[in-house]
Amino acid sequence: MVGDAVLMAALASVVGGIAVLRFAWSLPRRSSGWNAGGWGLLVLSAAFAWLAQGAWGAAIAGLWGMGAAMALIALAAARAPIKGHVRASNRKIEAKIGALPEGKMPPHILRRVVTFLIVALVAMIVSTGLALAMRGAALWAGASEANANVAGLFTMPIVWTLLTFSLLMTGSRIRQWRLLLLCAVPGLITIFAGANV
Amino acid sequence: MTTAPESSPVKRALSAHAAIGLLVGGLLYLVSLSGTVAVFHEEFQRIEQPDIPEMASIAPEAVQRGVEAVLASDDGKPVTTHLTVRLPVETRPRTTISSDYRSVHVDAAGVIAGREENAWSRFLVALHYTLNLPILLGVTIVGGLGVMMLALCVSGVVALPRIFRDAFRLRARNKAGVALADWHNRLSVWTLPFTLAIALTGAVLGMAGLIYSAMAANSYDGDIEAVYAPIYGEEGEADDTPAPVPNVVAALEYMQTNYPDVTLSYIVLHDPLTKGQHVQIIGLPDRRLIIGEYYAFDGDGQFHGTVGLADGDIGQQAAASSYDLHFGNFGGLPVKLAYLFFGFILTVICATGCYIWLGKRQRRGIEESRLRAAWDAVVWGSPLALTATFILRMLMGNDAPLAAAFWLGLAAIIIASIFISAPGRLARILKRALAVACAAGSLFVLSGCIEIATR
Repeated sequence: MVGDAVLMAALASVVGGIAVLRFAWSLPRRSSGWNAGGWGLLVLSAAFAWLAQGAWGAAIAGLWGMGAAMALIALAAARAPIKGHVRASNRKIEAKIGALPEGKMPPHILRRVVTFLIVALVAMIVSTGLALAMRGAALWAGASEANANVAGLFTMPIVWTLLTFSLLMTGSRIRQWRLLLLCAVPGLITIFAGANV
Repeated sequence: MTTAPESSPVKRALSAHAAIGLLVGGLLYLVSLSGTVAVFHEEFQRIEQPDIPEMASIAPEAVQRGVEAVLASDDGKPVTTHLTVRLPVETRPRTTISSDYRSVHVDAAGVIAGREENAWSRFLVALHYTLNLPILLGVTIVGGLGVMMLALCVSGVVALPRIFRDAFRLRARNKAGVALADWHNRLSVWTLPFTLAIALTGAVLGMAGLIYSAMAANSYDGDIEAVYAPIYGEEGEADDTPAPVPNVVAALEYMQTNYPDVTLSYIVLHDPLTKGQHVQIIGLPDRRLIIGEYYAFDGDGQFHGTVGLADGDIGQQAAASSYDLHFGNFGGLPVKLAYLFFGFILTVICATGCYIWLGKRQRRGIEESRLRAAWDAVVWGSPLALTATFILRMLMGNDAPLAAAFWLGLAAIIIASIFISAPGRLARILKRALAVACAAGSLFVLSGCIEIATR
């Protein structure tokens, strides 16, 4: 009964928080009060949800929050005026962004293939090494075997994500290799030192 | 159009976002589409075989009868290593028993009622899990796609400097490409918690084999079972000495007496008919993200404790929560409908990304009519091919070549885009075909629902 009431409070807070932020971000001038109120309600919602039913409660509150946001988005779409005509973009930036070359620009196929291999394969291997290192560190810090193994399991995709982003954010191939080598060190130490339970 | 000044990190983040999106966008779209539909894969199993006996519950004696019947029917073959009983639950009120050799439904009395024939549901789940590739390769690739989706989330957020200011700004009818960009950005931002949860759990589930293999090689002398054991429990000592059928009745009666509030979902018999056999019952606690708690019994039905997925180490609980959080199995129909909706949104986000990039190039005077037609083929051809395989299953039966039909059909549509590259023409044809296919598929679904409801 109490748990249900706290969960209801969580759901009300998350919907209220989204609504308050909607209002806050529509103001012509930034309002710290309304912003803080909106974010505060979202934080309160997370706390209530976790208190009520742990991770399950947080997941349910999250779904409600996203649903409330979608409802407001739908409202914004319904009110949007018909506007605009086709015009060429004059953003020179686009040429530098291009994932495909334009006009007479060279395709740089080899460079792109190497980047793919670095991100898809090398980073994956380095991340797996870091996962082993995380497992070893967790065991060394006194974690149980289950916690250590699962820590390693979750570390790999998170590290691979951050590595992928970092590698693609740097344009320098040397800096990419430097980053990979740096990240490979803990994994190599773990593998060569051995981490037998 | 945004007038916010762009700094270098924003430019690079947008470039990274575009690079990842263009490289894996097609596969991400396919995985998102199949995952969205797969939320209801249990319901589709019922549609595929509407005439199978259904029940809200089954008596322990009937389960025992069914187990003995299936084990006896495998006579002459090596004893199955595992026998799984799927007990009736709300989303799937059937009892199905699977050995290494066959999978059959049983009625409320435990009598075998027919072979399990759910080829389309299995194809759909295999498409999502492995892209119909060999399991280890496929699940690793799909896990990698989960990581790429995470990277798209990170780069996408960094590439939106006005993420808060524009959070509810939706110029939905602007024709200069702004509408598409706004839809993509607004939908992405507001479903970020969902996308992060799906992508991370998908990556974890997909990469688990690779990661645990690495742990096994590094720390357990290659014994991968030893990696799983601290999390999911030991497999038990093998002893091939023949033994009678395990006492499932005693185990189920123990659960009814001592855990009456726990909904039971599976019974797994490990090494049945041998002295090393043991029984695992999986119970679903209410209002949890975990897939279930494992209750361990010996061959005589004596209770030997739980593994700890519900209340053990935090790592066990986290690992056990990945599946249900990924597939939306934690809150009944309302949560499944929410996952269907947000999964559809995610699929739309995957589709619009490439269209935005093509639109930008077009506005700069670079016509990519063939690329656009090819992307139209992927976006509209994939759901068409998926629906067509469902219709094929319903018309041709359980042995229809669904994976081949899907991939050959999709390949044919993409090849057709080379020849039908007039702007929008292929998309119009495919949309009409999809509408017809969905109507036909809906008739089969409706027919199945009526048959189930009127039994």
